[in-house]
Amino acid sequence: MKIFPRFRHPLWTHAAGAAVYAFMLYRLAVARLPERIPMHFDLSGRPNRWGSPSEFALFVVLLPLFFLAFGLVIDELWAGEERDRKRFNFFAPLDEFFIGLFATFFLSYVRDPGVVEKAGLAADPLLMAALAGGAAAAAVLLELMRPFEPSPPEPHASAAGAAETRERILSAARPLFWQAQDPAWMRILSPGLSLLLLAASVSILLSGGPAAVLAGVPLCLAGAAFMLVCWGGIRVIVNEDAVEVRLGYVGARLLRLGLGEIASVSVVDFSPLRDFGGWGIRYGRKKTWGYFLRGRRGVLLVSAAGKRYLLGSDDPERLAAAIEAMRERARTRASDA
Amino acid sequence: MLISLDDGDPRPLYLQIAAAVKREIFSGALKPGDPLPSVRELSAMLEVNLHTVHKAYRMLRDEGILAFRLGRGARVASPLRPPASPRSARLAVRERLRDLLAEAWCLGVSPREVLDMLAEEAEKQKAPQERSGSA
Repeated sequence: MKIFPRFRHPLWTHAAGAAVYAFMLYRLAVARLPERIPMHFDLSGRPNRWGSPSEFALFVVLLPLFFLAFGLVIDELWAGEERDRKRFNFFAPLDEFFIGLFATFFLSYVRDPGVVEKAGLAADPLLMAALAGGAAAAAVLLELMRPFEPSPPEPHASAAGAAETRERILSAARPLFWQAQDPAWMRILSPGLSLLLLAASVSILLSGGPAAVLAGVPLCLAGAAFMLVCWGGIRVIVNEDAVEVRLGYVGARLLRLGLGEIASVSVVDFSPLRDFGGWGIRYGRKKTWGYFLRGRRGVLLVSAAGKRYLLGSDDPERLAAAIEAMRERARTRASDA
Repeated sequence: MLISLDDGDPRPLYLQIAAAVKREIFSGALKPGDPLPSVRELSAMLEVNLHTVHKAYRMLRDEGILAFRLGRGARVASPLRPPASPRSARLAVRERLRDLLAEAWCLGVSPREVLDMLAEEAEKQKAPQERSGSA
């Protein structure tokens, strides 16, 4: 399964994080771990849940990998945004910083497990500065050294496709137009985060206090349910009455705009990061609601009341043609009546 | 994806849905790997029975045009499966052409006119293989 056609952002910018991770794996392999290891801590840093050495090892192996994978995805999305010039990616040192921070606590523990059990979770400040600060600083340097490669422009659909869509909608008996954005990262993130949040709610239920259970469990379950609803991506449906935006296979309705309420339809270029601060369901610049999961082109709808909605699309010319043709049908129907 | 159902069309609804999907793939609007609406979603949008859409999708899957994968819903097969036997595929097309000519004759359109229309449409739209070859 291809998430990206190829990586534009070089992987060597994560060398510092990978080095700290490799050192942690080495220390884990040679460490003599006790039978009972603190796995969860309360707000004062005291252990409130204990686990086995294998659970501890799994945690140490997987958590930095998650940080690295998250960093790779963010960096690649960032590189995709660099069309005309290189921009400093301030997300670049984040994964190295968190891996360094995690390594500090891990190394402090394996050096002397008894200290944590007696005095609570603590880390050597010098070690923290060296690992978290050093890894983050190295990541900043590597990011500055990264060469710039402009991302290719978005392909524009042919005008013939849009014209044919318009012609077919105008002559059809009961037309319906449907478009979806369902990228691979969403198909991974949606069930993955749902499972993580479900696991978190079970963990809180088993080990948390009454306040944590009351606040944390419903929050985690609501988050898991939302991520499951996102499975299937964002869908745009244009029928004879309205333009609808729906979420996932469940089809939760995010927007319904009657064709009569639409004042203008236009194909626009936009920057997900600059204009909306990311991907998904967003409220961005110029008081515009955005619904998109990939790409930098879409259809801007402005309602008669002045509200603005941007629908991301892999083929915005065709989507705009479909909306315009449906509006034309609606106007003809109204004048006939 | 653009789908249009016509109550005046003599073809059953599931064949109209299947034909619309094939047309979208032929025109290049749907590419191998592209998602399609789920059976439940499409039946709700078109206001038809679940089984009608399911029958259309199953037929397209059997023809190697759609693929179903757990967690990914219905997608355009990638790559599109070639027909099992080119000879039987040509026979099937020929059979449909005969039906089309008979239908056209009943509507008052001569075979010559059908031929001209066919040449015109073929010129307008290139098959997916020709498009990828010329790119």
